[in-house]
Amino acid sequence: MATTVQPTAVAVPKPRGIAKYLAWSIDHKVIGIQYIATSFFFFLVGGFLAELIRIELLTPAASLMVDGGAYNTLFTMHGTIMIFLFVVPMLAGFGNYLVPLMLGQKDMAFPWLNAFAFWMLPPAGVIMLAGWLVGPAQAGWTSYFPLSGPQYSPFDGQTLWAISLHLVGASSILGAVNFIVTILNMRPPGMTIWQMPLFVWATLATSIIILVATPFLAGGLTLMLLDRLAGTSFFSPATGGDPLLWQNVFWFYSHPAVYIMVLPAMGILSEVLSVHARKPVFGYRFIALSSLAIGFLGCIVWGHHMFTSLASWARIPFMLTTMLIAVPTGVKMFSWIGTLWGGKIRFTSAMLFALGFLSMFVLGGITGVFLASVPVDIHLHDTYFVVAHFHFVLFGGSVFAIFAGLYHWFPKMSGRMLNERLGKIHFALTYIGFFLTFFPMHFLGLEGMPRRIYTYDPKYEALNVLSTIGALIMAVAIVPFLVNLAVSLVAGKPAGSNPWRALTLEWMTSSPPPDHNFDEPPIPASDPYGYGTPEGAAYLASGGKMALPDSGGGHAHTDQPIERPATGD
Amino acid sequence: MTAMQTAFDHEQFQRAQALKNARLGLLLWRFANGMAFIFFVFANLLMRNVQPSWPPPGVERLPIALPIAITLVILLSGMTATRLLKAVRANQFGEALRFGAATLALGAVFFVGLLAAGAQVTPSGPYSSITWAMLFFHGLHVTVASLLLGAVLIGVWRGRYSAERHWGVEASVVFWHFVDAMWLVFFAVIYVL
Repeated sequence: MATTVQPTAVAVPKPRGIAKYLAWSIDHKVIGIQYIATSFFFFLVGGFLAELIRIELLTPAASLMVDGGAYNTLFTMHGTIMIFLFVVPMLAGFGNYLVPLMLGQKDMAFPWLNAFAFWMLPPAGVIMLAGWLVGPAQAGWTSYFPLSGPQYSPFDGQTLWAISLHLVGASSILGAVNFIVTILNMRPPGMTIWQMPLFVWATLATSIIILVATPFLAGGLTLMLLDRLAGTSFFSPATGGDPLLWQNVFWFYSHPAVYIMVLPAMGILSEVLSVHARKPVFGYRFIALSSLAIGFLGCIVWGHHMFTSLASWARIPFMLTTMLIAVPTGVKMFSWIGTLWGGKIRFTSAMLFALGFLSMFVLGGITGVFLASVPVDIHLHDTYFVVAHFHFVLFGGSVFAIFAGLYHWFPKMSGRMLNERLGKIHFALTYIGFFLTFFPMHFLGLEGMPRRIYTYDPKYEALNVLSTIGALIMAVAIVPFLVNLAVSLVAGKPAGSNPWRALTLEWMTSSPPPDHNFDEPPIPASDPYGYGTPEGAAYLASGGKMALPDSGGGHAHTDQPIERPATGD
Repeated sequence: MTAMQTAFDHEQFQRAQALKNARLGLLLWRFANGMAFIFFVFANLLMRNVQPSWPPPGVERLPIALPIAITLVILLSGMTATRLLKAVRANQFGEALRFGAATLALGAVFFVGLLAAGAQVTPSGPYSSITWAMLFFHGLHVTVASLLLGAVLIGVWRGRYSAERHWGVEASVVFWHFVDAMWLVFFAVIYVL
């Protein structure tokens, strides 16, 4: 007679409550929440800087800033913090929390490495913010040479900027290795690669991009530091270097980084839309494979950031590859619309943010196709049109999806529901504020207003005022969310294990899950998106313990330790 | 089947899973690490692309005798590293230690040769910058690989490994081969192209 192998009891007393999140832990759930909390803090910091930018731009004259340098610092730190210390680690946090649970596992493949990767992040943040003590970076988040070289950025903040990003990059590479091994090697029996949740697919594609591209960031930053500290001649024209070399290596990383920031967000969207529309995902394989296609194409488009400085023969190839990305992205958009079509949509806060993503991301995507076109880009390069474009993609896309994910999985992470009324207020204010902030920037760009300036021609004033009003609405919008978080953590309605009646494995255990995640190895549903189907209903009724007829089982429940089949990849 | 048997099977299974994970993890690490080497190749090619000639006008081409010699040394060290792994797999630890020591010694000779190759470069702006950076980057990897191998050899000496369980030895030898292979790429880019 077989017996279940019990998870070994841990003898050392564990820190309880909030203390466990402030200490070294190798539990992927603790690490996931550490990532989410740390990056949310940086979201607030970056948001505060953005508000200062918008207040400065309320009038054409200098109103808040003593000089342009102070303004340069603002947009440099805003961009860097939002990208490297908020969106990237926030999505890594979702991945850490969810991937092992979605695969029915106890933890990631390398738990220690996982903790190590997280703990590189707080020092990176401190080093970045320490720039203010020694003269902060002013060269923009792209840090083009010669602006970021020793000649124009003699202060140490630029050096700290590079060191901080080095840490973020290393953390991201270690995390990616961990995700790929976990996803490829640790799927539970009964879950082929074509039955993985789409969020896991998206994390896999993202991790592959990180392994390809992030070493280029590390290399570029190393050469930047050498130019700044050792007087070498890589990028710095003063010593015979080539500024375009920096643009090439920087964008070889930073364009794929756009997909590092949006693919997991798209993964969140696939989960949220299907669950809250109570319908199977439309075109599962197309969504899964389009992530890989976007990842591949994303690595061969970097030249489109340099149309104005690139050799003319290279423009057309980069234009074509860039436009091609619209195809897999369009596949995703249509699949999501197909998922919603005829669904029994529940307008929860999570669903509202997901729908917000759909409507806003499509605008950002289309302006992306405009900018991919060389003749258009030559005119719109470095104008507010570009600012509008990437905020529609990154805020309208990634940030909306992050909020959708927070509303969707907060019950799992905390065991309590968020308040839906406050959630809807948060959504409405964010949606309106976002649109009002960034939509007018398209027109400003078309009229020729350059980005990264703190005083401007008075003819742009009216649209800038609108934009600043929108930004203030967004600042107000975060208040109901913070109140909601604080109140619901203490007094929210208990969530139960599966408040959304979802089919993926993270919902087949208590909320929050125990340290070992699952009391027994869970059996995955044969179709993780079989909402509204009899099989899906039967699986839900069994609480995730029943193998479905077509998953080859027949045993409703087994207490034997489940081993992976010898073949099956 | 007894409970003990099940627990034993479970442990076996977990160990096999851990080894499988570690092997894939190291493969992915080599891929990412290899991309960092490719970064330097990419930078080198772009830098020569904006110069009228390479080396730039007025800069001497580097002599190739010493680089060829150290290339032979590092190739030889790859062979001794392979013999080290084979010896451990055959439970011949005395032989493993001898081959391990030979690998480390060849690595040290290579490293000294690398320093000498660096000394042959005279400061000349872009050309010397990228050449030094590549030599330094590779030397850094030789150092790390040597430290790993040294730590593993101490383990071999203390009898920590067996023919069945020697992931540490395998990992350090695999990484050594990776560093060897990357030198061949760098050698071609710095001295041949």
